Amino acid sequence: MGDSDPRLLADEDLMQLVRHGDAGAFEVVYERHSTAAYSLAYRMTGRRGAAEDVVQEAFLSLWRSGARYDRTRGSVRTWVLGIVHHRAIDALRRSMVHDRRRASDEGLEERFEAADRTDLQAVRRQEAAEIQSALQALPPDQCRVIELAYFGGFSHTEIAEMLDTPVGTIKGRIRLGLEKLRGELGDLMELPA
Amino acid sequence: MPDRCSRRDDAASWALGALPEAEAAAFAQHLAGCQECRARVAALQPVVDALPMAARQEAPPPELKGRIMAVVRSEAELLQASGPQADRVRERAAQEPRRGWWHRTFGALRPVPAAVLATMLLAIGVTAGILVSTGGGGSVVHGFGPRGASVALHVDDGRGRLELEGMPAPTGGRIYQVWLVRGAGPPVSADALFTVAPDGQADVEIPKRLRADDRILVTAEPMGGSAQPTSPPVAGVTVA
Repeated sequence: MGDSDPRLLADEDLMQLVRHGDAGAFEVVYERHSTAAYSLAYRMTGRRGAAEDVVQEAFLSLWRSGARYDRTRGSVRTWVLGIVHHRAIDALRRSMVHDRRRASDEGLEERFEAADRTDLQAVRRQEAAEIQSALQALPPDQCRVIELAYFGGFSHTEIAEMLDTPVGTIKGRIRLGLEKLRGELGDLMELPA
Repeated sequence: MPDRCSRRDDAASWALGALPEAEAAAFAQHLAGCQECRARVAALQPVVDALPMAARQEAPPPELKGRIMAVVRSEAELLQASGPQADRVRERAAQEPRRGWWHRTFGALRPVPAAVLATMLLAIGVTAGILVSTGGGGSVVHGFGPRGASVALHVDDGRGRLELEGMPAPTGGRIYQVWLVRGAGPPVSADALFTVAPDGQADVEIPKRLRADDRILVTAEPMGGSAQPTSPPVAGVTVA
């Protein structure tokens, strides 16, 4: 495997190399998942500098803890984005930027470099568009609580206070929203890396 | 799925990570004994895993990759040079002839004219080993460091002085230690321990004589320093 072009390897095989300190394999993992990671971090923190810090921390953590990746528990992409999500929540709590960041993506421009316009990237963009569409198609109350919980890192009790709504109502909206998304997204939920 | 358990809303909040800490701990215990809730969580988890893609997709700035890869390559090199204590990169060492850190990091860029290379490196913020000035007072090269920090090495007649600005203070009761890596040899303590001023500045004399292509690395170590690096480098520079 060592002499192969790492770009031809599946994520799970790359992680085997990363585990042994192969910087080239790590670079391919970064190239494949950095756009999704940065987009998530930016959506959560609302600041480019903070998003860069989160992505840097997350990928360096991945580099240093590659041995912890367990393929039986999900794809590399899910693992990477899980690390980014946790780091972004930590960053939000550290910097107390909850009230400053914007809950909307409006104004962001899609800036894909020419090199990113591969078939996989095109599929990813399509996938992103469908997930965005499914989320926006939810009743606004359900969409809002899911966004506040996932992208804002707020607990359901914090959301209940914020919206001046009973906790039970918030919990119900979260469940109904996720169940509807599950019905809408279907096969999209397990796109191979 | 029959709704025998009354905690189906909690299962959804758990999958989304929206349970407050105390409730999450209690629900974790409940999950261990409730097959229905485990099935609910398993059914909703893929939805939560797909949510990151609901963010508008935007490519990160190219310089971010440069910063991350500079750290990754320097750590791979340092761990490799650390010998048997290092638990990584041994397989790679067996597979290919050993090459220097600079070569590994920038070898692919060799066809690029020197002036263009320097501009590219400055642009991506990875300025390890870039000669900034020479003169009667010696040379100055800039290296890599934490985001927002500047790392400059002044060398005059083999005597080195590391000048850092914007460096975060070492955490957890640690102190910064300077290492010298010469050729393919292991990192050797440069006999220089330091911390930074409140404004992030430090001016560190390096007692050991420096030669061209020596690499200087900085790690955070326990008070009193270590015989070998015990943490990844936070800053580094290559002598011109």
